Amino acid sequence: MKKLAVFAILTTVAFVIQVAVVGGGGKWGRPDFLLILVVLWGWERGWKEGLLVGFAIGLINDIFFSPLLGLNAFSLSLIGYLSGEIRERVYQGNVVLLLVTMGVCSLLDGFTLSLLSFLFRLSSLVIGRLTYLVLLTALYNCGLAFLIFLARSLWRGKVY
Amino acid sequence: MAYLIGFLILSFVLMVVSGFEGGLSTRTVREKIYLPVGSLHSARLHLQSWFTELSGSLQENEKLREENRLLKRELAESEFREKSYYQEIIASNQRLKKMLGFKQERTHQLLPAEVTAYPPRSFFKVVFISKGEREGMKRNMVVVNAEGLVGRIVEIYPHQSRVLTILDERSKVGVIDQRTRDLAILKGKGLEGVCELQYLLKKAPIEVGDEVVTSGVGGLFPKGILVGTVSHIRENPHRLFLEVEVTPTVNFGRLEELFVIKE
Repeated sequence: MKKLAVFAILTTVAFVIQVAVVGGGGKWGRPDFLLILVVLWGWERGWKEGLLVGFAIGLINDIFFSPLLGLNAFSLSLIGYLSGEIRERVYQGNVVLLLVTMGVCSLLDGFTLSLLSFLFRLSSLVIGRLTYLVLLTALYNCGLAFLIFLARSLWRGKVY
Repeated sequence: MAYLIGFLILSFVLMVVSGFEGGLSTRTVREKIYLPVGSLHSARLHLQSWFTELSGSLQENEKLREENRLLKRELAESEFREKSYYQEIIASNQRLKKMLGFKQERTHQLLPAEVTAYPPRSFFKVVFISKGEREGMKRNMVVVNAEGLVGRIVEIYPHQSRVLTILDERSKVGVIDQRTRDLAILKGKGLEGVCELQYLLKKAPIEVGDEVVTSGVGGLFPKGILVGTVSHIRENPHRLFLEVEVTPTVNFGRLEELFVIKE
């Protein structure tokens, strides 16, 4: 029950920040707080919860905003699983590995969305998606993940 | 791994089912819950303007603010007309001077609307606006702002509408080069700040800096709305048409007040 409440609060906060604070982004791109939440959840709690949280957040996003139901659910569940799977094979406290995972997941998200949109005839570009906007998003996500990791470590009294 | 495959298959099935025309639709859910989602973005805009007003003029009263808001709206409308219509009218006028009995261009009624939300994940280039079915919005109505063409309405809710911007890859607009009068199709690239012109023959004397406006061909977009400027031209010897990039005049990262063109 407590876990469900934490999930509800964090998801709401992530959605509020993304829609109300970050806004449109423009040509300089924008961070993806929903993806950050999924990756960090998988990193903290393992692949099973990462998968569930990714699917749930993706589905919520699809219901409200996506032209295709299941598009973001597919991508984010894959990312939640991947993040949790990597965490179980490496040292969880290593910030560099977390940042690499965040970067890889951000790129994978862009690639997956691009491929699925192409398959469902929503877009024609595949490689084009992996250009500067995806890279910028990955960069922002890594920066924010680092700050969150640092804040969490300070909170727990440990700095790696 | 079995769990992952299960969830991926479930997601894929959802995509297939919702991808069909008349398939599984989230429209009903969206209609009911859009108000709080839209309120988030409105809250952001209000917060921004509150800080601006607080630092700028603490003495300003409600009447002046309202007057200012109306004047800004009128100014934006005038700017839009000046940029989109007057340049086009001057260009048209030069060609039509020699002709007699040309019919006068009809001006359009502009309905103001505000951006209420950007999607949280920026893959598709759509925005949500504060007017819906109850305010007389219809599918395919054209949306502009003071800078030029924004897009068209693709989905209607009671008090919200979804606008497909010209940046989206699904967007196609009939356009014309204002100087050379060459017709082309403007297609979004799914990226910020750039679109492409399709079907422009190599012999077209188009140049970087040329302004591109809607052609009116097809009847969806009214003629003469400013869309962007030509920013890059490439001639590929293996292709029949020129590869032309257009930078939209609208800053899609900072959309706030828009106008919907009523037929």
